[in-house]
Amino acid sequence: MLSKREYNRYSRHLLLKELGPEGQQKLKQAKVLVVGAGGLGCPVLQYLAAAGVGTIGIVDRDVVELTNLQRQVIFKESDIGYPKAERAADYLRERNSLIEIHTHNTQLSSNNVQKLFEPYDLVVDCTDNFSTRYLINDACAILKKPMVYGSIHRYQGQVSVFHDYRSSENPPSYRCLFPQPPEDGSVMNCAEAGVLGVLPGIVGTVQANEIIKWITGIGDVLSGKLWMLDALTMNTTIMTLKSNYDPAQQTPKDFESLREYSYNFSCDNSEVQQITPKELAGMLQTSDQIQFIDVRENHEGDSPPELKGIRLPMSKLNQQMDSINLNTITVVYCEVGRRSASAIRQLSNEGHIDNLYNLKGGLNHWKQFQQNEHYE
Amino acid sequence: MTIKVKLFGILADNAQANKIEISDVSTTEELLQKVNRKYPSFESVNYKISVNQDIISNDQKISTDDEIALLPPFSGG
Repeated sequence: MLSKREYNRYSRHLLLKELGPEGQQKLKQAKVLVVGAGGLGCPVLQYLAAAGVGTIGIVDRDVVELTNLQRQVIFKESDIGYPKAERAADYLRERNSLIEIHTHNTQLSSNNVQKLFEPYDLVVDCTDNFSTRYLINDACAILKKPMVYGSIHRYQGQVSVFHDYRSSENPPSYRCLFPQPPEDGSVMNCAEAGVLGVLPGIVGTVQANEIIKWITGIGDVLSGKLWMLDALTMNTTIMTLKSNYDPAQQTPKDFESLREYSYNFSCDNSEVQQITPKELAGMLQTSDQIQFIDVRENHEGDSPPELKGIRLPMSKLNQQMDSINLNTITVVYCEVGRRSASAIRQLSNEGHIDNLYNLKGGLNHWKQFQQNEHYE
Repeated sequence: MTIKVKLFGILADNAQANKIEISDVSTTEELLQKVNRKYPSFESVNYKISVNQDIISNDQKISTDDEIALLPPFSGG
């Protein structure tokens, strides 16, 4: 039953004849887990809390950074350095004391996913990497829990609802859309590609809309459909998507096999030698024999003059790899140091691993270092 | 026969175009082969193709009137 206070607070929902007190009661009883409190997670959390979703869980192991504030609008300058899950929860509790917020200040992994997901009715994918996205998908497939997916690239966004057994006996999964993750380094995330700050606001709000419709049972959710937005033209398209895979073949069929599946699709930089901007600056003073390889695409701008060397875009790496002499100390770089690490792993298959260094933090950190010599 | 193909995400970035034209193809399979030959960086992206707003997985006949789009996964959140 809704309390008097709830009747008052949610009165504009209660006036909607499709939603009404019954729908509001469903929202109150609903348990939703939001994975990722970033660009998409912020608007999702804001609107779920405001709508009166009774239990909201937040999974995020990151801390708030200055570069988040351009689009992650629930965080403020004094939140920098503090855990996102906690700060997001504080923000929501201040705005709605009638709901429960649970924080999970941890990295979602194949070991904790079952325990984290089981108490919830629905999982929201607001992650920024393929490893976590496939893990969420596969866990939701096993648990038959709906997954409200959102993802962004520069000015474009996608939203869909997967594993919705209410819409279909055989609902599509994220793997029906993309059976396999892209090869490491071939698709950039926001840190590398950039993103228009307002874009995740739009896309996350569309996810919140799908969640509220699913909980209350009003309208049609985007199950079997992929909604796409181009914010530069404001063209939107809804594509149809059919369930087209044999789940047993591609998705782990239970949590035991899920725990054995490797979700670490990228970013294992452990075998790659790193060099910090400071170390590189020191090296440049003592040696003029350093070879540089800039693996950014040609459209990403010129290489800085002090790091001029070979321009070898990731997209051409495979074809041109043989033409490079790696007998000398070589520093490989990109925008943030992720694609260059992937390039080094590929180049080191040819031997010469000892000569290859990844510029830590990429050009991003190099430029910050140059502006501030105390920068590590 | 020339087919107009819309590109999204990283594919549009790499091709530096939102639309490309591919000629002398009559099926989606032929189209994909030609696209990947023209843009070798596309292959590692594991993208999907849609015909008239249907995302498809099997080979299909296409004509100039069909609306074709190539959809890469997006990583950001």
